Amino acid sequence: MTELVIILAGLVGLAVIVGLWVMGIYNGLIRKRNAKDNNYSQIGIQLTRKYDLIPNLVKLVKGYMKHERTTLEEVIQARNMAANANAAVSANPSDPAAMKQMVAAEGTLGGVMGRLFALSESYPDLKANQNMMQLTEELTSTENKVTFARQAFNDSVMGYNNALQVFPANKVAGMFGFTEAIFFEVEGLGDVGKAVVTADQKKDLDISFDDM
Amino acid sequence: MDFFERQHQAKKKTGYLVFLFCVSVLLISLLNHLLIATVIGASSGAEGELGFVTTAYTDPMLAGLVFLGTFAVIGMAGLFRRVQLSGGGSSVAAMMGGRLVNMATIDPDERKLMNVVEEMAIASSVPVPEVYVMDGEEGINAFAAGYTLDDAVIGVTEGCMRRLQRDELQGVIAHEFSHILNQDMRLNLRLIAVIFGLVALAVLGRVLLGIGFYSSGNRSRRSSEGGGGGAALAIGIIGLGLMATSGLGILMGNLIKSAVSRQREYLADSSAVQYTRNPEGLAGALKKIGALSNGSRLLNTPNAAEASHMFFGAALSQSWFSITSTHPPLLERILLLEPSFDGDYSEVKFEERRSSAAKPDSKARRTQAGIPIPGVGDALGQALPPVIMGLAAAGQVQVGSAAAVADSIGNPTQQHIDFAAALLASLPEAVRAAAHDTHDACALVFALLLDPKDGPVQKKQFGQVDKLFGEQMAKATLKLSADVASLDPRAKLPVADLAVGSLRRMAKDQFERFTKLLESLAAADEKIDLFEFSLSKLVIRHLEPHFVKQQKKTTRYYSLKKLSHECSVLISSLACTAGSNDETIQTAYDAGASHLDATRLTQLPDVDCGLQELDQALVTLDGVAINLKRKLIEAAAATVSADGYLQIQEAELLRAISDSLGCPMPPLAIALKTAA
Repeated sequence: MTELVIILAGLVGLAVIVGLWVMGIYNGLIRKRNAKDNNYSQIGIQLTRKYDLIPNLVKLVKGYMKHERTTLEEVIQARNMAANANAAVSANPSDPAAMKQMVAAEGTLGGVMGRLFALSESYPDLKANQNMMQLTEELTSTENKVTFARQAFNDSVMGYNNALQVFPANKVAGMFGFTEAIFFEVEGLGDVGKAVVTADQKKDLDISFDDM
Repeated sequence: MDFFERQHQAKKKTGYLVFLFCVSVLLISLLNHLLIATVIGASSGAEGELGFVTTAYTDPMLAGLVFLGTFAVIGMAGLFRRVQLSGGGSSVAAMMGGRLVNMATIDPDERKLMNVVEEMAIASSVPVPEVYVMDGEEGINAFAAGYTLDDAVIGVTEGCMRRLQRDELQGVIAHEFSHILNQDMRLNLRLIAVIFGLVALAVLGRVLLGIGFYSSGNRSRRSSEGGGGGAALAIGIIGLGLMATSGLGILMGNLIKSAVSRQREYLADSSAVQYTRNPEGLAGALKKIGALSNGSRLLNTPNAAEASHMFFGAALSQSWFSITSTHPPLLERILLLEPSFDGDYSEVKFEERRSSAAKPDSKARRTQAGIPIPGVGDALGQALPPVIMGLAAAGQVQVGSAAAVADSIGNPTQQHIDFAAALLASLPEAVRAAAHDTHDACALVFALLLDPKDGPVQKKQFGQVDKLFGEQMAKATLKLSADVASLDPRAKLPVADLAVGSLRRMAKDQFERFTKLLESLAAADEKIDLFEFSLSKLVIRHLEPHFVKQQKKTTRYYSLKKLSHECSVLISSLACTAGSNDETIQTAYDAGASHLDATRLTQLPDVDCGLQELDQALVTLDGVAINLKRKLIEAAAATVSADGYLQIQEAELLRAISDSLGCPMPPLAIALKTAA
């Protein structure tokens, strides 16, 4: 009788310890997720700054590039989409769908901005414009800050995802609906100022010039 | 009570806490043993027909098991929480769902909050702590958490940020800073772990109860025979009993909480007044808590119960047991600050947002003699403004005594805060903006270490920046270099403290490169200034805990006897900086050495006390007991001010050295006209 009680009590004690353990893992995941979300704010602020600069740039460029309306419209469109996506992510950084959209929008924006800068190469007056130089410089440095802050964010995403994937946290995560976070990695033309354009793209651009 | 004494007290309090904890665990174990023995006695008695067997009480095996079990559950749970919170302040903030406020925020209320925090940080010479906002909490409350000055965070509720005027907010932030400077927060973190351990036992009891009654209920439905049903019932009863004893545990936990934290709250209130010289601000904040229906209660914050003792005001609904409340009664706190208050909260006005921004400092500040604190004594009376030094001549300050300098540590005053505000306002916009952004803050620190002359050394340094961080970083550094070069020498430490705030958000890999670059920047300039060198070390030291797992800092030396070499290096190198020729160096050295007469010092020649040696010495000296640190700082102060005056550079060097010993020294030269 006594033994039975002790054994049962021991088992229950074990169950409680396991329960506490699960709770700890849960809290740890929450903490990592919050830390990751908090790391987004630095990016968010810089992105907002970038999105504020782009309309100024477009306004300035418009005077010179009369024949590039489509590109300019694309830039504005991509900028608006990215700004909306950024607002959505800033409001709820844990939402992977919003984050995915953000990454995609940033990629698109990077692409069209790259094209815009490549086009501007063929307008010497524009390139010599003082405001243009200033804006380009500002955009470049902002973009650079975004890249810098992104590293820290991606670090914390990795920390969170790693914590999520190991056993037994993955079971706990499944139970409570934690999902993997998305890395903020922009493919393609991230660095607008440098306008890294591959040879192929350049050719495409040249062709479109001829068409006009 | 000075900084050192308070630190010492906080340590003693921890011992007290551990003692109380052990007593309560013992008591709980004893009760558990009685309970289990009774149940076993009763159930075995039922089979033996005799009604009751008392042997179970004295069964050493059973007693051992019960004691061990109780200790194991409480200890493990506590340990567990402890490990979880090893991340320090930011992990507590994340636990409570706080949102990090970006240092470059443009939201007016957040900006105001950050400005107040930055001023306070510069006034007390600590790195700007991370600030978290608990969104959606309408009540007015705040907390400070962390183990050291480096991982400290401040959290405020949204209500606190939006509803308080600048004065009031400053009072609250000053209160929290006092928790940081007095090391209360470390104690508080330990308390969380202890309370959690005690709560764990209650959880165990509840589970046992559920299992016991569930299975006994099942069985009795199936058949009415005794046997197994009895055991299950016994478990249920034990569970119920455990809940009762752990209820006692929680009660005791709360008692411990209130025993430790209530006095600290009074002390923090009085310190806040001491820092700001403005009792109305803090009183106003407390009154607003009284006027709000939510008061200071937290409604949506997870884990608030465990951490209730960390908050500015009571975080939970008032307990009917005033003995267990973590905070002194609100009215009592207000009356200490404002004896004429009649307890009528209905006249408290809540201004529309931002209408207050126009005139923050309109109220004349009363210089209070001191607030008598029950049980603590006249906390202010002994800590009147420590060293207020006017500018005696251009660029130097007169020093009262070395002891006065040491007294100022951890005791910023309103003058310091005014100085900090003026200093922040005087910073070039580019510098301030750079300090708020992680990328540019790196460039800012690099610019601080640039060779002042535009020569080959500087070129080499730019090359190093370019190599490790790329062309953009070099450009940013170049852009800032002019502004940084024109900074007031007194602005450099504060700028570094600001920059540390945003540099914490670097990626780990970036931090490694950052450290490497700082080293090579210092090495590029062979005769780098002692101050600049300390500055770079200071930045690294404050950042390191965020990126590298640190060993726990423990006091390793309780006497300076064995550290004569380190002390010699410190005093000798300071003497070399302070003196200009052999004679003045000798005077300076003697002045310092006389403060450390218990240690045998030897004056070292210039070559034997270089930067690396000094750095090593300071690392070792950081491990001495807190009362010895006071001696060291006094000796250092005496060395640099041997001629009765402190050059501004010397003052700033002294602050950097004091900082590396973990003692934040407020600005010494605080004449405002040159800062503005």
